[in-house]
Amino acid sequence: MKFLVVDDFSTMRRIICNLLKELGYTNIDEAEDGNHALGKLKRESFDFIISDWNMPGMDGLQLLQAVRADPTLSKLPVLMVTAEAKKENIIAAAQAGASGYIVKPFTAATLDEKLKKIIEKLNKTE
Amino acid sequence: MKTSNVSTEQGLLTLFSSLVNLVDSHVSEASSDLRNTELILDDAIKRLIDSFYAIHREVEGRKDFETIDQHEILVRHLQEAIISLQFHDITTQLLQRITVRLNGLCNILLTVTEMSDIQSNTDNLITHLQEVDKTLMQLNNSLHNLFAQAPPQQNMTSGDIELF
Repeated sequence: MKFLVVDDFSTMRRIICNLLKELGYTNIDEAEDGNHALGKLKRESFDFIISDWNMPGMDGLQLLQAVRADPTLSKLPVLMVTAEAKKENIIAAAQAGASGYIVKPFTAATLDEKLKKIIEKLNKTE
Repeated sequence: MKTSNVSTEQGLLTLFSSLVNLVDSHVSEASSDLRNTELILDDAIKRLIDSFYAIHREVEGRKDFETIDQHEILVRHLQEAIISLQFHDITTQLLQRITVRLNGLCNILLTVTEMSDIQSNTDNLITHLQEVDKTLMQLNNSLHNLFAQAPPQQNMTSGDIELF
């Protein structure tokens, strides 16, 4: 399974990438904002997106909307990992088709649990 | 009477101008201090994270722990320490918000200073102050609209929310 980790903060990308590796997911790429992420998604094949919300240029919600609007990308699971805890934002993410939403700061256990939940659901629908 | 009104107006304008300059000077200093704080924090956290990962690699590679539990406890503590560094992201967002707000305030002060050149006439002064007030409201609204909600997290367990 190939992951794309999208966050404008290099520390966060490093933390998430290392957590994924510890959970056994070693095929990981990174992008620093929505525009770079969308470019990579269109050029390469990914199986899972983990994205922040507040990013310069194209933010996480806009990236999610762009992914869901593209027939070649629309089925990709998208996990929002963000400091945004406002109810309206969470609802907006759900309505835009986010597969999951976790709030920073989060633990390894939270990330693991959320990934398993999403992957399980994905396997059931295939 | 007219001379007295002119003196009062000039006095008010001088006071107003002094106040604006004073506030602008302190706001500029505060912005500079914030920027330095951000740079220092950024450097310190990056070094910390490098060190934690180096320790993590060392611990992972060692076989001479007395018990497996000791090894696992140490690895778990290291993982938690590394994850706690997520606050770097949250604090950086907060610092950036403060910087934007201070820069916005400087812009407001500059605009008000530029509007302060008026003729010595009481009617003009009142009209002018009303215009300044209207402009202040517009600038204030523009500044507010720049901001999303601040990250509300105040401790490291704030992410333990069952969402979806």
